[in-house]
Amino acid sequence: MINKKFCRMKTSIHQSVSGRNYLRLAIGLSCIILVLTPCRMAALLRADEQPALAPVSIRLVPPVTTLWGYRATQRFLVLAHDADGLEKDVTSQSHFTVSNSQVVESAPGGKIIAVSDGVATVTAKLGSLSATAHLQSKESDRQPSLSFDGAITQILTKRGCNGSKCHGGVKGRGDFKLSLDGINPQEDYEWITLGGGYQVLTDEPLEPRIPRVNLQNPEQSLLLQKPTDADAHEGGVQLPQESSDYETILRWIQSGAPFRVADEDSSHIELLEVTPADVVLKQSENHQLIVTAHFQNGRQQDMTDQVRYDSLDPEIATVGPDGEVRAGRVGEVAIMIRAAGRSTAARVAVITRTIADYPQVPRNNFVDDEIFDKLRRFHIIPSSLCNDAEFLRRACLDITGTLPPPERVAEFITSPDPNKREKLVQILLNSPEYNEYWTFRLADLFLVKSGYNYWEWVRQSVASNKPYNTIAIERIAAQGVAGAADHFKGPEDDVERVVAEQFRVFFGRRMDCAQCHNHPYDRWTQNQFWGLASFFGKTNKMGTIQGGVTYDDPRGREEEFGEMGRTALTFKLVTHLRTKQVVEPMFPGGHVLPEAARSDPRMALARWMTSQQEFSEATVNRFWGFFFGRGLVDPVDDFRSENPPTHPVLLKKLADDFQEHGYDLKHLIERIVLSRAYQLSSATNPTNLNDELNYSHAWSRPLDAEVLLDALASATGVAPDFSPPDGIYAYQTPLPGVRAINLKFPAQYNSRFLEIYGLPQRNAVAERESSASLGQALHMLVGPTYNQRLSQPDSRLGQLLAQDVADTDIIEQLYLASLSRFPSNTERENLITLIQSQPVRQNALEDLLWALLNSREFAENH
Amino acid sequence: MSNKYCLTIFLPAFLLFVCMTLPISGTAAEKPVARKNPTLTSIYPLGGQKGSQFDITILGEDLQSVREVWFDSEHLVAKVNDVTQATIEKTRFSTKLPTPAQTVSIRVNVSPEAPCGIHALRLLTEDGLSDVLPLLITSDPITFEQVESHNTTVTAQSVDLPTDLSGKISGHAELDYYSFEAQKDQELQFEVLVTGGILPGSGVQFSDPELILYDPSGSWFDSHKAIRLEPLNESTFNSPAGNAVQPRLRYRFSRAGRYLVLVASRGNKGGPGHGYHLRIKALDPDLKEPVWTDLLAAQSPPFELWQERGFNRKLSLARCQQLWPRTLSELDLRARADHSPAAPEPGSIILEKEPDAQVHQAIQISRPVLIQGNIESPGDIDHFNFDVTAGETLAFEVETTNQLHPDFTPWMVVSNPHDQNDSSNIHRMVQSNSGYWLKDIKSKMILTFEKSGKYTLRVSDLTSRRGGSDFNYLLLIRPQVPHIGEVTLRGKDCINLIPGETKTLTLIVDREEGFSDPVALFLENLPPGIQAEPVTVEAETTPPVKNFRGEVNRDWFFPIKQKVVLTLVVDDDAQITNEPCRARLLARAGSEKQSGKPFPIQNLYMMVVAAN
Repeated sequence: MINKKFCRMKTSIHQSVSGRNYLRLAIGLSCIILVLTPCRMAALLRADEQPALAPVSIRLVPPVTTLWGYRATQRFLVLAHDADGLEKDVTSQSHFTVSNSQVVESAPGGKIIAVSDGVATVTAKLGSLSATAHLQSKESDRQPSLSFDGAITQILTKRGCNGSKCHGGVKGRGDFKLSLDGINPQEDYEWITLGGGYQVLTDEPLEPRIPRVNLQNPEQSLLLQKPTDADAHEGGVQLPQESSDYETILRWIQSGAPFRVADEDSSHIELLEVTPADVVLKQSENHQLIVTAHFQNGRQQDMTDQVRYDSLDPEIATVGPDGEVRAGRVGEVAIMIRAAGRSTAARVAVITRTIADYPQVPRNNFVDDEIFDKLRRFHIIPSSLCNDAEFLRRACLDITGTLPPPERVAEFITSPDPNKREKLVQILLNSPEYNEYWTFRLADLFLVKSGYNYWEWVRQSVASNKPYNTIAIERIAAQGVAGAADHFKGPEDDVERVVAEQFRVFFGRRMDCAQCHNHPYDRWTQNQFWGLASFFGKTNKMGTIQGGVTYDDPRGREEEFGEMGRTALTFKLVTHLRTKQVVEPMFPGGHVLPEAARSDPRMALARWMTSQQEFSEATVNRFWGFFFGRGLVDPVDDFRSENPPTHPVLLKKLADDFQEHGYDLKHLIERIVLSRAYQLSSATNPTNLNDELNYSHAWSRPLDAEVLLDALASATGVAPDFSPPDGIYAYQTPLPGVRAINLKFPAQYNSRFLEIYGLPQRNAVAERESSASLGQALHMLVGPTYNQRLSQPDSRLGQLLAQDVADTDIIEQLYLASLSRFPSNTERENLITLIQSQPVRQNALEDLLWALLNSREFAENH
Repeated sequence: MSNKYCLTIFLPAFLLFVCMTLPISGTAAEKPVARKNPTLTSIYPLGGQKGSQFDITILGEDLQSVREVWFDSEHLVAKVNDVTQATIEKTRFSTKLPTPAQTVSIRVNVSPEAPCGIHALRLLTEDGLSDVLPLLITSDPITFEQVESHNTTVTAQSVDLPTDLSGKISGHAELDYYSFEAQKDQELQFEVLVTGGILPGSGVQFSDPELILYDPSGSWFDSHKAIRLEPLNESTFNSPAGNAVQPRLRYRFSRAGRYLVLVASRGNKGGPGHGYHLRIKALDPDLKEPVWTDLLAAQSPPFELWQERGFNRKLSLARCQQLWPRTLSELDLRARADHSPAAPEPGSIILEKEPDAQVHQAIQISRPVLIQGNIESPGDIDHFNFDVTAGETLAFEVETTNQLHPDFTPWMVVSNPHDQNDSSNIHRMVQSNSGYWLKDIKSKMILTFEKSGKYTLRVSDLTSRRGGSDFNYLLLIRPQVPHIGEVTLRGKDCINLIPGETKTLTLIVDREEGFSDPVALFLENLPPGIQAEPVTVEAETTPPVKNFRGEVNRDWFFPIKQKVVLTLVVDDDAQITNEPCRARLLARAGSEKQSGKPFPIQNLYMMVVAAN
C-alpha cells in the first residue's frame, strides 16, 4: 500500500519533475498490493441489536465488609453475569434482605446502615438468583468526628471547591486558594481560619486577613455564605443550604472549627478503591461505582457518596455525583475519582455488541494475561499472530533498528523450527546492532548533543548491559570528567531545568509547572519541586562548558551569570521561588536529607529515585512505548493522576519483574517481544478496528529518521555520506560507512534527510517529530537520498544488473531487501509484465525500487 | 561638506590609519630583504630503526637549494639523494590553492646507540636552516603499509606481531585496516604514534588519529561486520600544547583468532602530512602496567626548560633553591630590607596520614614544607593547620605524581578564621563571548594573609568520587620568592640572517610572585658579524596586564607578563655561514649595579646567508 498522501502530492507535481515518475506512480499503485492491513478494508460493523440475555448468575459487591461508626453505611452492588460474559448492574432490580436487623438495616438503592455492633449477612435476590455478602458493624456508637482534616476537606473535595478549575487552581479564585484536592489541609485550614489571599510570588498573604469562619456567628461565615451564594459567589450555588454538607460545615464551625479532633487518630486515606475498576457497558446502559476509602488507622468507609467523579471524555461516558456511569458512544474512558488527598480511576468501555463465543487466545507470559483478559472483558478479539516475515521485520527494527538482509529473511521464513522466534530474539539481543541501536535510543533520551565522553558512556553502558538503575544513578549523580558528567553544562544550566528533566526522564513525570506553583493537574507541590531542586543546588562545573569537571561545592552553586565585572566570589543555595527561603534537600514525602549525608546530595537523590516504584514503572512504560507505539501511560513521560494507565496491573507487574531481574533492559525487552501481544498482526478485525488503547493489534509506526535512512542504505546498498561540503572541515565528521544510528551527535552532521524526517536537536526530552510533511514528500520525489542511490553502479540493484540476474529474481531480491518478504504471486506477475513493457529495463527496475522505498510498508514498522 | 571640514576630519583619520598599519618600532628599522623561507610540512615514513639505514621523503617549500640534513643528535647522519619539484595539493577542507613545493629524498643512517624517540631534523639550504621535523627512531624493525588499498574489513592488511608499522592516511576519508592473529588470553597493547604537535615549531599537523579495535567475526545481519571491541582506553594528550592525541588501547583476547585494528583520521582528513606509526605488541607479563612509547625520551636539551606551572612539574624542597638563580642572590635578598620575607630555610617533608579528614584532626605544619599526600578514598579530605603573620605571602604549589589532572583534580582551600571567604586554587573569569564563568584549577597559587592567626588548608579531589592509592600529590608550601619565571620566544627558533640586516626577537618575560627588579636578557655564542645588545627591562610601575572582565584574583595565579624586544644587527660584511650556529639566550635578574647570576633560556639556531 503506497503512501496515498505522498502519491497525491506526487501526482500534482509530477509534470515538473520527470516523465519517469509516471512509471513509478504506476508501479506504486499497481504493484504494491501489499498485505499490510487487508482487514482494515472491512466495513465497520453496525451495532447489532442483540436480544437481552437472562443472567446466568449474580454476585454481591463487596462480598465482605465492615461498617465503622454510628450509622455507617455501605452501598452494595448486584452484578449479573450474562451468558455472553458481560456483567451488568442489576442493583435497582434486586431485592435486599438482612439477616439481623438488630445489627444493620436495609435502605433503598442497595444501602445498608449500621445499627449496633455485631455481624450480619445481606442477601440480594434477582428472580431465582441470589447472592450473599457478609458484614460486621463496629463502634456503632462512635459519632463521626468533625475535623477540618477529615470531614471538611472531604466536602471541599467532593464539591470541587479545591479542584483545579476552582480554588484549587494555580492562584485560586477570588483571592481564596486551596490546595488541589486537599493535599495540604494544614495550609488550607490557615487560609480559612486566618483569612487572607494567596500570592504566587511571595508567601506573604494578601491583606486584609479576614477569617473565613465566624465562630461568634457561624451562619455568617464566608465559608458558608459564599458557596450558598448568600454573599455573591462567582461560582454560584455550590453548597445548598438544605444539604447535609452545609449542615456538617455549620456544625464544625459551631464546634470551634478544629483542625483535628483531640481524640481522633489519623484519618488520612491510605488507599482509595473503586469497584469495579473496569466497567464494560453497551451503549445507553448504566452502572454504579462503589468507592471505598481505606484509612491509615485500618478502618474503611464507603465513600461512594462523598467523592467527586469526573469523566475524562463525557461523550463516551458520563458520571453522576453519586457514581452512576452512563454509557455514550463507543470507546474507552477513565472516570476520575477524587477524595481528600487521594484519587483513583475506573476504566469504562462502551461497546456495541458482546461476543458470546469469544475465542481462546494462547498466552505466552503475564503480559498476555493482562492484555488478553482486558480484551475479553471489553469484548475485543485480538488480531491473529503476525506471520514470520512481519515478525522478523518488526523485531529486527524494534530491537536493532536494522532491516534484516535478504538471505536472513528467506532463511527465517522458510525455517520449520517452532522456536525460531525465541531464537531470533536472543540473536538480536546479543548482536552488535542491538548495542548500536540502543546507544542511539538512549543518547536521544539522555539528550546527548555533544560531549564525546557522554556518548561513549552511553555506548559502554548499553554494550555492557549495565542495569538501568545504575545508568540512572550515574546520570543523576555524575561527577568528574568522565561519563555522564558532560550532561551537566554548568553555568547556563538552571537547577529548575535539570531537576525537571531528570524526573521526566527517569520518573516519567512533568514537574516543570511546579517550579512556579503547585502542579495544576497533578499532586506535585511547589515545595516538593524546590526540595528536589535543592539536591542539584551545589553542582558546579570547572573547565569549559562542555567537557569540564563536574563537582558539588559544599558552599553551593557559584554565582555565574550575567554579572559582568564582578570580582567578588559568591555562592548561592537554592531558594524557593515563592518563599525566597533557602530550601533544604527534601524528598517528596517530606523527609529532609540529613546534614551528615549532604556531601554528595545528588547521589542520595539518585539512590532514592531508583528505589521507587515510579522509577521502574516509568522505565517499563517508556520501553513498552518503544515497542508498541504508545505507552501504558501515554505520553510515556506524562504520569499523573488524570492520565491513568490503560493497564495498571500490567504496569505494576512489568515494573516488579524489571526490579526482580536487576533492572536488566534485555530481560525487559525479551519479556515484551516474546509476548503474543507484541506478535499480533497489524491487520484488524471488526471487533478491534477502532481499538487504539488495548493492544489488540499491532500499530504501524513510522521509522525514526535515522532508522529510515539506514533502512534506505540497507535496501539500496549505498551507505549514507555525512561529510560536510567541500571547503569545510568538521572535526566530528564520522568515519566513512558509519550508519545514521551510530552518529554521536546527529544534529551536528550534514544531512538534509535527517533534518526533514524529524531529527531531534536533543535540546529537550521527547522532541522527535514523526508526522509527515511536504518536505518529506518532495524529498521522496526528487531528493538525492531516494533517487541518486538507485542508479549507482555499486548499489544493490547495480550489482544485480551487472551479474545479469533475471527480472524475477531481482524483483524478489528487492522485495526481500526493502520489505523483508517475498512478493506475492500477483505482485510478481504484474511487475514482470510492467517491467517488460518498458523500453529500458534498468529504468524500470530502478522505478520499482523507488516505489518500494516510497511505500508505507517500507517506511513504517508494522 | 567643505574641503576644510574634510581635512579636519579625514586627514587625521587617514594619517592615524597609515600609522597604525606601519610596522611597529622594532621592525620598522629592518631593511626590506627578499628572502626564501625553507619550511618543512611532512615526512614519510615517520622514521626508522636504530642501527639501520633507511630512506625518508620530505615535502616542503623553498627547499630547492637543500644541501645537508641537520640533526640535534650525533647518532644520526643523513644524505640528500634527490630534490624534485612537487605541489602541495589543496585539500578537501581547505580553500588554499595548490602551492609549489619540493620533495626531498633522504637516506638516513642511525647508529645503534641512538636513543629511541623523536629527533629533531632540519634541512640546511642555501637560504638558511629550515624549521624542524620530528624523526622517529625505534628499537624494532619497521614494516610498511601496503600500497594496495586496505580500506575494508575484508581487504585488511595482515601484520605479524609484534609490529612496528609505518603508514599514512593518504587522502580524504581513508581507512587503514590491519589484521592480526591473537592467542587466547593474550593481552596486547596498541598505540598509534603521530608527530603533529610534538615538537614546538614543527609544521606537521596530524595530531588526532583514530584507533579502533574490531572483532571481524561478523554479525547475524552482516557476515563482514567488524564488531567494535571494548578495550581499556589509555589514550593521552601528549603535546606541550595539549592538543595532540596519542591513542592507546590494551585488550585481553578471550579467544584465539583473527582481529582487526583500524587507523583513521578524525574528521576524515588525509594527505602527505598524515603519516603514522602503528605499534602492536604483547604486554610484558612481568609488568603490571604496559609501557607506552615516550616520544620525547630522546629529547635531551642541554638544560631543562623551566616549568613554572603544571601539575606534572617536579616539586621538591629544592625548588626554593632552584629559584635563587632566577632572582637576586640570597645574600642580596637578606641585605635588602624592603624585600621580605627572608629566604626560607631548607624546610621539612611531611608524610600525610589519616586520620585528618576532619578539621579538628588537621596536621600542624610549619613552612617551608613539602607534603606527600594521598586522597586515599573518594570523598577523602586532608586537613593541615599553619600559622601566619599579618602581611605574609605564601606560595602553594601542587604536583600530581601518579593520577593526572583532570582524572585527579587537587583542590586546595585555605580557610580564613576571620571571615567566611575561603581561598582556593580555582581561577575564575567571565568568558568574553558568553558571560559565563570560565573556571580552571591551578597548580600554583600565591596568597597574602592580611591577618595573623591559624589557618586551615583543605586538600581533596574536586569531586567526591575520586580517590585511591594512586591519587598522590606533592604539596609545597613556601614563602613567596619573587623571581623571573618562564621566558618565551615568539616565533621560530631558526633564524636566518642576511648581511646588513636588522632583525628583532620578541620575548615574553614572566614576572613571578611580585618580582620587580630589572630583567636583563642577552645572547651568547652569536655567529661572527652579528651583534645583539643586551636588553634590560624595568618593572612597570603599573601592571601592564589588568584583570580580564569579571576575573577573580588574577594575581593569585598568573605572573605579570612583559614584552621584550631584542635586536639583532648583522654587519654588512658579515661572513656567510655554512653551518648553523647554536646561540644561547640567557636572562639575569637585577641591574648592572646589583645583578643575579645568568641562567639559560633556550637555544637559537642562527645562520648568515646570502641575499637572493
